[in-house]
Amino acid sequence: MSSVNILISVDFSEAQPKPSSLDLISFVHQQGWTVHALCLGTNKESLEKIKKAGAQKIFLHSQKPSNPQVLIPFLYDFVKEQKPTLVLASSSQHNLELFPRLAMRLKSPFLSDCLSVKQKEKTWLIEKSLYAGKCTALCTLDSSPDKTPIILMRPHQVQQKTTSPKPDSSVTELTWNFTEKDNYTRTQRKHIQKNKRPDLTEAQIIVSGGRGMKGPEHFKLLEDLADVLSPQTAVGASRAVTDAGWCPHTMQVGQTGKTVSPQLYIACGISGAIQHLAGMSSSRIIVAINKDPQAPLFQKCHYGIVGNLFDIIPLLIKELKTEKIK
Amino acid sequence: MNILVCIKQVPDTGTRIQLSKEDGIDESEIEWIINPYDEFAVEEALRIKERKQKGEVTVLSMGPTRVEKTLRRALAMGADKACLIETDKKTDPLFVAQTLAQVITKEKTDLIITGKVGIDENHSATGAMLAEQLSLPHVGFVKAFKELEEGKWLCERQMEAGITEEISLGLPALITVEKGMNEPRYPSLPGIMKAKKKELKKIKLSSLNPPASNRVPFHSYRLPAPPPTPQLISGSAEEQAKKLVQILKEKEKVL
Repeated sequence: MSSVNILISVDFSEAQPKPSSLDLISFVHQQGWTVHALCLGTNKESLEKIKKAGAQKIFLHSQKPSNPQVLIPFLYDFVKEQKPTLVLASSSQHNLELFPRLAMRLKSPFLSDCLSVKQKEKTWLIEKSLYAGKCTALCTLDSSPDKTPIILMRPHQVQQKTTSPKPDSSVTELTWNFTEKDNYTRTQRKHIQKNKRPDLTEAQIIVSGGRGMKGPEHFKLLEDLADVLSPQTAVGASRAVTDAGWCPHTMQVGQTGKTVSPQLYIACGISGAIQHLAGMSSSRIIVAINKDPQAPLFQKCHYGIVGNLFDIIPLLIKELKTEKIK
Repeated sequence: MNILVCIKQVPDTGTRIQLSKEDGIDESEIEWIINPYDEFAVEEALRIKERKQKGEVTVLSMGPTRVEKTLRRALAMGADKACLIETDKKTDPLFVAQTLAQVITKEKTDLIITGKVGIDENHSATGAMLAEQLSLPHVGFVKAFKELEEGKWLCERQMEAGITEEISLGLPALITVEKGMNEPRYPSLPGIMKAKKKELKKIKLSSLNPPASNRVPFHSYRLPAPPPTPQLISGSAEEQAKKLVQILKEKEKVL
């Protein structure tokens, strides 16, 4: 039995664990390290997938305070008491708000947007993306019980199905009494979206549009393509397009937008400025569609189609529909 | 209302990152700019001050002498004064937050604003760490910031999966800001002239009491592997579409 135990903080969306958190659990379990899963703001009924992915100990609390400042003292005591080898979580917005605060209080090393975690004798080798993917570097960290490193991983970087037998899981209910502070109250509302698409950073497939789309009205074409590809498809855009106001900034892929790494990235009418390439070059398969054969993206893609996207995309949609029927 | 904006100098987004022989980034050809997200922070601070017609905007940064130019730019945009903690050390958020906190506690500050992330090392951590170190509440990724009543502000932000959150935040507090919040102004010519006369205080890092470790140890810097030779799909539009779907489905198995 290894003495490595990794505390994974699980993210939930509508009471269900997020796929990126489950990926992390199965990855860690598959390495032969013990998984302790911290599940806040959920109930016992939602733990099945977490057990299946390989969590040995589950720490559960039905509440998750919205104010990071309220939660931090509890997390601090918990990490001090449990002394995990590492704390792992996804590089999500909420985690990027919470865990730097925890690291500060613990005076622990903190790394976000990480790509891999390896053990090397008594140290840990963490690979981190820098300059939005223009380069990567390794970071060697010691794990000492007083300074547990906190590592936030980019979604989809570790994907491993659990094949090792899953451990017997135990569930411990935490008895933390949160006292909300009166200088912070949070409300949220969900956008009513026509198509329920995943977030760019979580999507398996991304269809992205640039200036070659000619105007905001043509993004419907990309939406249609996304619809036939898979429910796990998101629609993105280049900086030129979001700056021009054709799409909201939340759709921007690139160094000043989102860094993405889907299985498939289809760039439509995007020439490929350095800052855009930085945000998507870690995608597994990159397809470029552009009428300009000189577009720099044609040097950085796996497959390129030189042609008019207003001809190609409808044909792609048609072809994908026929394939589906087959 | 006194607003402090923490800014960082970073390589321009158009920079092609090259590695140095010493296992790091080659900085010889880098053009340095204000971190774009911190520029939104400066602009937002100026707008709040202009609306309220009182208070002061201070910009604070840490780094080598070249950072002075970035601070001057913020002064030219309209900030009242600047402060630079001078060091040639390579630093990380844990170090920066603890050091900045030593300077900040000395001044009366109602609001601290900084960018949601530095586009260089993408830690997205300094703001939150600074808030923790100063025992202030903080909200990250703010896209709109409006005053509800004296000392109480509404932060609006866009989260993953199409969720909009609204947070009412009591000051003093810290926020980190997101793109789309505002359109930063260009420094005007009179602004640039005035900036030369504005106060830019320099503090030597050695005169403070910085933490022992300045940075987590990075090594083995690597550029991303170039993609395999791009394969162009030829033929009529129909043939191109058909071939692409086949490749993605059968060869790459991504569909």
